[in-house]
Amino acid sequence: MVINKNKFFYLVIFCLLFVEKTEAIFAINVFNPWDINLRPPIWCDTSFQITGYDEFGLKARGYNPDNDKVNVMQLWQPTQDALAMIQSLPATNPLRNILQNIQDDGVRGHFTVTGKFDLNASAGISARYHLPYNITISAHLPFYAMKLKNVLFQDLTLDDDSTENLLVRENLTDNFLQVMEELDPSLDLTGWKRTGVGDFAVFAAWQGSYCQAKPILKNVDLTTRLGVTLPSGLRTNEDQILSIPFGYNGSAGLWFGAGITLNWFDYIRGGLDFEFLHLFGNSRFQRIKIQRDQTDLLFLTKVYAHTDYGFTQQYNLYFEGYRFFHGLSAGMIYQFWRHGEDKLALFTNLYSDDIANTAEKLQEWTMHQVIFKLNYDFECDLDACSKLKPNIFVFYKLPFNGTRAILVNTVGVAITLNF
Amino acid sequence: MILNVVLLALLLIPHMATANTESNRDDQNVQSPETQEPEQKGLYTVGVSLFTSFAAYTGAAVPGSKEYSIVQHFLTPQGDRVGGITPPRVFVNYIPDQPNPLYDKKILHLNYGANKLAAVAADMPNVICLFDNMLSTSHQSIITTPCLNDALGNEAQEIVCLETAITGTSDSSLHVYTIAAVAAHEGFFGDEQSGFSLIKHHSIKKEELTKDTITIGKSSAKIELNLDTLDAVNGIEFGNKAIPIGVHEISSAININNGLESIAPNVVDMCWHPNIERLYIALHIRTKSDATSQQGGRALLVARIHNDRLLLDPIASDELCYGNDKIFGAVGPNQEVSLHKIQPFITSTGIRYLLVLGGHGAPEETKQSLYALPLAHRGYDKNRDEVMQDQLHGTLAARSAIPHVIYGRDKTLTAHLLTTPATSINDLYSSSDAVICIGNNTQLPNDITDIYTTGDAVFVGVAQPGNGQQPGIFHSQAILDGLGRITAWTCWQRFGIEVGVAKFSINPTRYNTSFLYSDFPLLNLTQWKKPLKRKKNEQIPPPDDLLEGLIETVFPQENGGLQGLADFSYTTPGLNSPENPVSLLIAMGQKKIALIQTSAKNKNGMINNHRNMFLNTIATKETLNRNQAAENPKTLVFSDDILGTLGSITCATIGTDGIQSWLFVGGARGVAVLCNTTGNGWSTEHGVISLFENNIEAMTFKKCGNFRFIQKLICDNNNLYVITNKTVERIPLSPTSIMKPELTSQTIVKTSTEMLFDGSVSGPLVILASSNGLLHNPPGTDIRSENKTLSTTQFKLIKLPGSSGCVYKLFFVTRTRHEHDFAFGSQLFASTGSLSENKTDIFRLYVDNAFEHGIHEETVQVLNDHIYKNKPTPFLSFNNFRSNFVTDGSHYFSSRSQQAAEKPFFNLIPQEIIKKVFVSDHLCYQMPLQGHKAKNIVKIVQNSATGNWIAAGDFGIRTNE
Repeated sequence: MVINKNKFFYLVIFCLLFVEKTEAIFAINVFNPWDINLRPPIWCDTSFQITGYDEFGLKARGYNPDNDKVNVMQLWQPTQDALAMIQSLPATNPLRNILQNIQDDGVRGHFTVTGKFDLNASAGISARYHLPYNITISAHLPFYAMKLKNVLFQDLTLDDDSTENLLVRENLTDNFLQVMEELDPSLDLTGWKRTGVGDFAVFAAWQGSYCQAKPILKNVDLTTRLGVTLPSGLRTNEDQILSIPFGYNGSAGLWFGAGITLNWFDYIRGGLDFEFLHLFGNSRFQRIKIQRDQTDLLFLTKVYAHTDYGFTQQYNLYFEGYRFFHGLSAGMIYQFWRHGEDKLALFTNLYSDDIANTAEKLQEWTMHQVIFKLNYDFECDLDACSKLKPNIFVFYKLPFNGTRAILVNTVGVAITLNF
Repeated sequence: MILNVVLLALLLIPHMATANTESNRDDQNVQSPETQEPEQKGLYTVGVSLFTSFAAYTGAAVPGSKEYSIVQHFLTPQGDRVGGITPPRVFVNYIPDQPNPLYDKKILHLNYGANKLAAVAADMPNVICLFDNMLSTSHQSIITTPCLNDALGNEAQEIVCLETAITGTSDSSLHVYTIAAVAAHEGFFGDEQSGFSLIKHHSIKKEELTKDTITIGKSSAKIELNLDTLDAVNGIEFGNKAIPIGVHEISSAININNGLESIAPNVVDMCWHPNIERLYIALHIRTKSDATSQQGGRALLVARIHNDRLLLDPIASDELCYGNDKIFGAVGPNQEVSLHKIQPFITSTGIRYLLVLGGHGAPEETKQSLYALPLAHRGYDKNRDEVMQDQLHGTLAARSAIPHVIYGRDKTLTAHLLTTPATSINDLYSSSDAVICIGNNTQLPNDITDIYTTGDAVFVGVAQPGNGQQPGIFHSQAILDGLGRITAWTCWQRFGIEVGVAKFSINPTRYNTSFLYSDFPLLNLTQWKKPLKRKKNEQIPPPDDLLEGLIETVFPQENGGLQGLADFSYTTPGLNSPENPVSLLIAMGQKKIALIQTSAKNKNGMINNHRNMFLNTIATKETLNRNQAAENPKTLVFSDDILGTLGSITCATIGTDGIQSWLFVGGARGVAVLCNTTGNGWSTEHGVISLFENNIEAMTFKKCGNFRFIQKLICDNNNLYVITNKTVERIPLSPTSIMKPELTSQTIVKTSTEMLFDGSVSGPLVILASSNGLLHNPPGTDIRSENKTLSTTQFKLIKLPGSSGCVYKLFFVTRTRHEHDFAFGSQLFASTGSLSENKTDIFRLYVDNAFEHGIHEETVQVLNDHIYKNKPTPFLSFNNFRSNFVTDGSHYFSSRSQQAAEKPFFNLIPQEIIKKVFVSDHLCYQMPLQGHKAKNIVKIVQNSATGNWIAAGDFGIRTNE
């Protein structure tokens, strides 16, 4: 198959038009279509591969800054502080006038927020073309469908008759959604449902295979790759609570990765792979923290700000039985993500950069998960002249730890066709 | 808690040994002298004593104390390190291993200045021994003067008083002098030949010394000190001659037109005013029996040092002394002026005063009269030499003098100076002027024994009981007017101690008081009581029967602890029954209040301050009615349905119409009053004690009006004022209106958009702390008689420079210590800022006497506390939010409740930080709270009975005892 160069060029230009807005890269453990674990083996005498995959969320949970499992709405703070939100209002606001010096005893004006996050689908399609000299170029486009529902705000303010608690309950927490509607009509605290494409990516990879004349170690595969992601995905909706971008939220990224795979006895493989992502910073209107006690779901202030992203690292350590029964392989992958702290620079002197940068969602996050996979490669079973040469890959993701991340147990399948 | 440091036990410690008594601190109560071991008595007696801010020195009253002739007590936060500092052999005049002239001697005088201790031993009463190297045990060095001579050059009989003077020079170097009041040869101080010797401290570099001179320890190897006994009249080196006091000169600094008969023998006090660089001398004088109305004497002199000469000047010219209402002098026949002590004083605004104990009258009549006299500083527009030679510099300032604000080259505030001296008799304050009367003309128990000043506060020690009061330490605070001058003083308030006090000092950082008993050589130290150490969730009864235990029992933390605390002294209208004056502490919690007697009159007519035995004397209405209450209950706990409807009870006040008195309490959901079925409270004549003694079945709390979110209740002028978060209501006090307040209450102030956080009413004036700023009622209005509702838009907004707007807390310092008297002229501290900005600024304001002057544009004035020229700054600026701020003029307390994850804190801001305006947490002393349990600090109040400061919150209370 020949790629239409003109169409590819226009596609790139189209995607670049969206490079204007960014927020933090969101910590959720869905596959990127270019993930090394979705990469199919290269068949002999084929030059083109198409891979489609889909994964379904089973159970989503949040991991807070202390690495504890929590509801997804509590991944940044255990409670949301509405009193601190009131402190962020302009001094002329009547509600701030009433509540401005009421101190936060740890529960006064606080809400425990819960919600149900559904990952309905995380799908994608990749096309790879193998060039001479073991070079592969590929294009990837993911699709996502997610939903946040049943968002509940449970008031923790003590039900006593102290002046402070009474004022807070009467003016703020008893009719919280109504108060929020008056304070910020654009902010939707009830949940959302989103479906759309993610960031389009283009990669170039080199993969070398070196036979080893040794009794145990039979082969060493080396790989390295370079790619760019283009911001075609849905971005964060600043007016929705815990809105998740489908991709890098309007920012272009530059990927670099490399790995080594060792083959023992021809049927056991293990290896290490890493990928680094540099996201280009950019500027947009976004909700920011302007009071030091504010919690991340209740930011009311929108300003134009520049974001410099932290460095993102992904590591894979894997081990598998390779084609131990016909084309069947089974393996296990430990995957670790780490994203450094993001930095905001505000285009205003009204608020403090220092305070804005203390928002939890800008802080470092990590994800740990184990992926169990079964792979059947029909190369062994089909005739070499067969036009359709499929590869089926099923997996189960078991996240087990993280920081400031939504981790979803997922199952999925990927099918690759080789031409 | 009071710590006893028993000196005598420590006398057994070897030479210069020190002992740390910290381990004894935690669980001690007052240990009376009688309970001391018998052998501790008599082994050592304290004669003279001297307190500095960091150490105390005591001199032996009789010979035989060996190396403990002088004992040094270091008053450190870690404990009191004490030791004798007079070993048998020391360096004397830089010659090693010489017999110590102070060893085993009785000590007559001690003086500390320029980091040197001076002493006079009884067997060499005209020789000064100066400790040059006091801290080194192995190289202690003493420098002695020759025998000091009197004004005729003969050997003086004795030294009567010592003082150290440090003078600056135009080239910025310092000269140190010791000044000794010396008695005449074979005579007394006060005789014609007696006078003042001047000893100059010469620092000599080592290389200038001869080979025979042996230097002492490493630290002083380069500099040696030489004492030059000057001819004080002519400034001749080693002339050793005193300047005569001039008692019989026709007209001298002391004598007015030859009207002076005599000076009381050997009675003199001296003080060097470092900010004026003048020496002040206080005497007892008597005028001649035939003195005319223009003849008399001055008992207060001012002296200056110029070219190594001591020059005596009159404190005010002769003409200013006419009339016998002056403190410092008198004219006419057989008049006495008795000045006992003098002390320098400088206000926080930088204005110089001289504190004078005594006045016109016989010695025994004047020992409770303490005055603050303003001094003229002539340094506004003159160079230093001119100022130092100016005879009017350091004399009494005119009462109308306007302070000049002096900024340094870096445009920072240097001082406020009263530059205008008194030149006419109308320029001087008389002894009846409230401006100079420390203690606001209220009575102390007995004679003042010691004076200590810090900040704007004056503390005095009293050794003997009297006037129905126990002795102790008492406190008065200066009230400054809009220009920073003292305009009044608060009445005397007991300051923690309730025993006879001879000498004392207050730790400038931690607020602990170190004091010497008046009748026993024992040094005590008060400190902040530490929290009880309990394991988590451990439920054990409070270990003591003090106020802490009571509060913890009645208001457990699981029920919210204390939500409010209010103190009412026995002078409060409604409690000031002549028969049964009672001080009350009203503790408030969820649906419950407790009336705690903190003082009451005993059978002997003495005010008895209650410090313990609270737990066993709790009564409730039910136990009283069933006669099951303890005998003489001190605490009355109310908890009924009406109180339950008020929510958390946060404020209380006591009101009276002169016949009946009522207790009002308020919370988030309303106000209630304690009354019987006819609306009567307790009889004002018999006092609140009747509630504790009688069957109070008929007394119940009754809901009063229909108010919400009560910020403050205040009674004044037969009215109850209810300040809510949006209105100010006025309810006349009478049984009728108590029964039907809805008929008589009137909304006198209503806010437009702002919220009210605090406020107060006094006479015609209402001051409100609102989200828009600090407000008071419009000029020309009188809140007592206002019949229509005023809107806050009509109010006068007081501009607080640099403030963000919101004022959320007010703290009044009034003359009577009753908040409802603030319109008589008071100090107001307004807290501004907000949690959102996470900062608090404190502004200091003066409230003019609205009773005399009515409400006008300048009724409330902001003090000029700017430390930078043309850059307005508040009095204090905190780098985070403080919910409470109070002061007694010497120290400043602030607190904050828990804020999100930050624990609550309660800290003490030392006086020296105040001068820097910007207060950082790490510079403050953090008071101990109840560890991890504390969440809220609702109030900081001073217990008017004991004088202890109390921090109250959900954890109970913490006190300084």
